Amino acid sequence: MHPLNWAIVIAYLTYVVWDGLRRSKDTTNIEGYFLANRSLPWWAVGLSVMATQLSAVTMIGTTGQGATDGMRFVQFYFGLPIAMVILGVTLVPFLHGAKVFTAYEFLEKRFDARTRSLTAFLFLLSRGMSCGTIIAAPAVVFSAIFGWDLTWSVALIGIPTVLYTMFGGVQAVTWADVKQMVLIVFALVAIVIVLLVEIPVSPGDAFELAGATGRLQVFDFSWDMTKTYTFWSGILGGTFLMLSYFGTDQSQVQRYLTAKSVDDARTSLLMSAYWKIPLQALVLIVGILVWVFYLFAGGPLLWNPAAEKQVIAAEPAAYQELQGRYVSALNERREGAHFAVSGEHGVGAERTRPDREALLASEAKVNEVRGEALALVSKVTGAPSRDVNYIIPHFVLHFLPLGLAGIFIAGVIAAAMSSIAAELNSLSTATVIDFYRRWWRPDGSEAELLRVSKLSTGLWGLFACVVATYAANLGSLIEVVNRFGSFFYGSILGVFILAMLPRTSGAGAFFGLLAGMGAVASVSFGMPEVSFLWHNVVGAVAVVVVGALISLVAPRRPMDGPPIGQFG
Amino acid sequence: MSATGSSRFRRTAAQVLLVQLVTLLLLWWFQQHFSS
Repeated sequence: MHPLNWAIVIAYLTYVVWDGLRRSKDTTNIEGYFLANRSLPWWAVGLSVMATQLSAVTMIGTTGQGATDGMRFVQFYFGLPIAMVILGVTLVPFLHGAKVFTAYEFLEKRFDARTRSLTAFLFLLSRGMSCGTIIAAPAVVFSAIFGWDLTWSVALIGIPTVLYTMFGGVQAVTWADVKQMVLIVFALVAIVIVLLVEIPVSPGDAFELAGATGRLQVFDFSWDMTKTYTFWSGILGGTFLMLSYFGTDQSQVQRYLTAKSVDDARTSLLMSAYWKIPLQALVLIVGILVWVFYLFAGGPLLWNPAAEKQVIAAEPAAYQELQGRYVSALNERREGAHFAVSGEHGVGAERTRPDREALLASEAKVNEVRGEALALVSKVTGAPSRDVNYIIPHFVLHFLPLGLAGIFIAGVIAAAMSSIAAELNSLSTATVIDFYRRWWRPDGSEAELLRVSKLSTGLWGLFACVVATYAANLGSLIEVVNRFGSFFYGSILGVFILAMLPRTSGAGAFFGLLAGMGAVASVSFGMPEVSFLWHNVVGAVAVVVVGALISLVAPRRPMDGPPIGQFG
Repeated sequence: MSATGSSRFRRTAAQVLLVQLVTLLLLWWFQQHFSS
């Protein structure tokens, strides 16, 4: 990469760390460190909510998914606006009004200490691991494209994030998120503009080419539960997932607990609801336009340069043979594309199938050769290839104008940092509030708790970096993160639903939670073909049913708190 | 505050759901226009 691009990346990293450290001076107690003394405006919290959810996986994995699979992934977010509105009238006012630090602390007020501890423990377990995978995702890609050792890539992303999160607390996290979100959107819009200029056909023709190969197929109305992304899994499974993520996951709950009022907290979630689907569509469109760009520009047989080197070294003859067939298929596809946009059957809506047949046939050939190449990668490296994650980085490094490549790489790092920072901040909060202060030092001084909070953030950061270094070969970058959460998510949501029902007891919540996790585990292992988005529905329903039944047998005790609706 | 929140929240929530409906319709049009 050009030195100017590196200068942009380094300037960005330096600024984020400096700004974070600067904010540490204002933090003198744990309420300030973890909740910014509940003083932040809705728009800053809203941007922080969005930046936390948008990780580097979105910037490189989801764009790559757009290039290969098209728009269908956007269905995953169809439930998000519904979930945000539901949360606005249910959990948000009560969590914010209860003046708690964590969502789990609230469960002790409503049920009992064991339910709080178990949910907080599950959060620490799943988020602690997923934080590592969030660092690993861009680190693996950086290692491959820049030829660095993975440890250095993890350090580049992890160390600055740990520094500003550890010393600056939630103030640093939120205000960094605001700037990072601006940088990310700027980078995405800039890349779309460059693509529209660089693609040798009009934008209408570009989308028509993408549409001809099925990449603009957004909606899938089938009820097939083995398909990951359908309209129904998005609307139903997605709503449950988003209710769990935004309503019960401390990494998101903590964002809106920092808002200065309940109304600001709700509005921050609605802001995310407004923009999430269009933003996700923009991310996928970047990928689709990159695919159209390479339709005319060619592109390598393997996008991952590190994997390509290994294959060339181990299987030179087989690679050469595939490369020959690939170039010929690419040429055919390019001609097919030209023909499809200038075919004899007219323009626009008047174009008919015959013009597209050459394109579709050559696209199938390209995919066939690439399939063989990816199988060769798996054979040589012993691991499944994640080639799709290298499509956008290839475009960024080879075709973006000087300066913009640096901005995009800084945008990828920003996306990673904003998610990691929120997670480290919330992991530390749950550790200190739900365990250290709750069980060991209930009368610890502010100074002591603040010291432990900073230490805890640093230790979680170290743990995440270690996990990242070893998580490199975990499955698909996109789905691993979601899959980790979905084992617990639905069940924890079930506990919060129980909290809203009258006459449910602590025993019902605790054993219902165990039953919910058992149900998800049995579906996950017994019916692995069922898409993970449905796990959240299974978990939540199982907890509510079992929890309600147990509550009939073991009713509320005097020490159980009031139902959620009776707080505040 | 009522169970469904302030009037500002109700108004914004209604807008959000309306905007999402329009977004879905736009995506549907996008799909049909370029995929047919």
